[in-house]
Amino acid sequence: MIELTEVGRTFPGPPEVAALRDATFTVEAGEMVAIIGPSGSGKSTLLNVLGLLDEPTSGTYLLSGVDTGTLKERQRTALRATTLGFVFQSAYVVAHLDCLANVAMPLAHLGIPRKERPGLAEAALRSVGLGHRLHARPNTLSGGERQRVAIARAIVHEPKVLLCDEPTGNLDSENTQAVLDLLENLVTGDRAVVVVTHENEVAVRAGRTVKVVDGHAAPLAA
Amino acid sequence: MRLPWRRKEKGGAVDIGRKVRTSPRDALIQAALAVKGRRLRSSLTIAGVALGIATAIGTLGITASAAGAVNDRFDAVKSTQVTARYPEGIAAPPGAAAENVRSLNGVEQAGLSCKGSDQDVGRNAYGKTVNLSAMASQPEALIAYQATLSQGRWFDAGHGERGDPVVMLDTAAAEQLGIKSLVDGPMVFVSGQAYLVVGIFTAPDNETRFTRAMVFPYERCLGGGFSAAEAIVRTEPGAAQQVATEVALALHPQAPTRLTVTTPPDLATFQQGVQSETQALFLGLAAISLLIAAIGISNTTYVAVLERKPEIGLRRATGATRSAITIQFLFESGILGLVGGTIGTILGVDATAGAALGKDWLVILDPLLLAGGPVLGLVVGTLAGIYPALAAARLHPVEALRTA
Repeated sequence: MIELTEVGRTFPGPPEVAALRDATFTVEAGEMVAIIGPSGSGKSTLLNVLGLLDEPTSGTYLLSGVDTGTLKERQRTALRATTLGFVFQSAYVVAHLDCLANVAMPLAHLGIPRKERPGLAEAALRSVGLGHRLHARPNTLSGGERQRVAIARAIVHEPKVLLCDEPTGNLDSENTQAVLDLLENLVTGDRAVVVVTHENEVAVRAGRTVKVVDGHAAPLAA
Repeated sequence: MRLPWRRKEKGGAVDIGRKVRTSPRDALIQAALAVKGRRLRSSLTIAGVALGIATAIGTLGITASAAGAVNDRFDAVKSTQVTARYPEGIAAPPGAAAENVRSLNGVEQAGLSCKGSDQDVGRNAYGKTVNLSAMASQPEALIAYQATLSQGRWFDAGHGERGDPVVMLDTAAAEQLGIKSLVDGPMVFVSGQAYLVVGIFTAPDNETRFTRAMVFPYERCLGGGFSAAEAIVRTEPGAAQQVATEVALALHPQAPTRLTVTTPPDLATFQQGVQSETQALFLGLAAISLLIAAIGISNTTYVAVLERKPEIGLRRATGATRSAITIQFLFESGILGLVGGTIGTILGVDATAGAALGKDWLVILDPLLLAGGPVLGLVVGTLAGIYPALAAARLHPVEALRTA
């Protein structure tokens, strides 16, 4: 599903900063992988590269068998929109849209007919336990509920890879457990979940762990 | 339900040829939801546009109504009056010349008149006198001048031919001399000579030629002591310009160019002049108001871009292209402009109607303005949104998502 070979990302200076160096690992469908490391180690840079939000300056990144280095911007956008789902530390729910419209938002960019979107968004919200808050405004939701809306939005288009950046960073322990349970359930036979975290509790839930230290990313032995 | 790209992948690799595209209708819906969802900010921006458009519509409407009123009130006396002055030294005989003018098409009345020096006039030969303006005039000139007879009678042909010692006084002159009635045949004395007052007339308002005037029969002009004669011609409405081109020839065919003809300003030109001058002024003000409104929209939309960086980043991450972001923000500013333009048009029409009716003017509004106001708002809003929309599209998703 994901195959990184000696991937690096260097930001031009001065001073030049090598935020990611020689990252080499794979993520297969049906597994949950945690990317751990201290603050400033390069975790977010790695996630941006994995999410096609940023381009590596060296190495090869294959996503679903496609060499992403050969793609033009529109192709990257299309691949990102159809293959990947994002959950961020902040839920980034759009304040002026209700839950259903927030979750349906990615579908508008993917050419899904307008009449089919509410059904898909509702199914996604129900799958994260928010079937009763379809038309709630974000300002009436708790932090945990907002993050679940974000997860519903990330899976509404059935992505093959779910990329989560500190998804429980703003949550209390109860909501953290609920969100982790949810993420575990989203790991299916044809989908992988990648979670960037600095919390051991989250890493423990993952089947495999990739550690990032000073920009070097390598899988830890199981 | 299996989504299209998942169906395609079932047997093999992902379809990288697939294009992501946000339809204009979806962008419009998203823009409308953003405008609706951010009510306070949208309302303030809309108010700014509405003010600008209302100023534009109101000033155009009020100017048109005011110009109409100016037209209505334009001095109808002057607009149908032509005068032709003889050069010094050329006698203007009382008969044929004035008759020629009266026979011109569009001439209602015409007569000759001339002005003498001021005279001390008394009720008796030796008593108190008042200083009056001495004139000599045919009664037709007074009538052409739109003087009205208050008491007595106009001169007749015999008064002039015989050289009768008669005068007419204007109301103010009669009052100064203490003459209230002509029943007793009041006399006035000029340089020891007695004259019978045969009539008292009233000059039109705001006309000064015959104010405090003592008028002799026109033939007295020919005896010297008076300035060059002047023909006063009253025309039918709209005929003044044409009559003016013919009057000199009718009065003095031998040398028409030596006469000085004075015409009133052409009514249509006058009206256009008033209208264009006032419109230019008010359109300038309206343009400034619109510019301020445009800056308001641009500013609000740009602030919205800064505030909504995470939303922009999220949309970009989930498949929105740069052009989709541009179009959405352009639609947002366009909607603000359109709504503001519509409200502004309503306010502008109300302001025009209120101002015109308050002044008892006819409300004059070009129907094109009613459609033009909202369109102008839309155009101003869209143009003002170009820079913020491009700024939003230029945002890199990573940078946008970092702002939280």
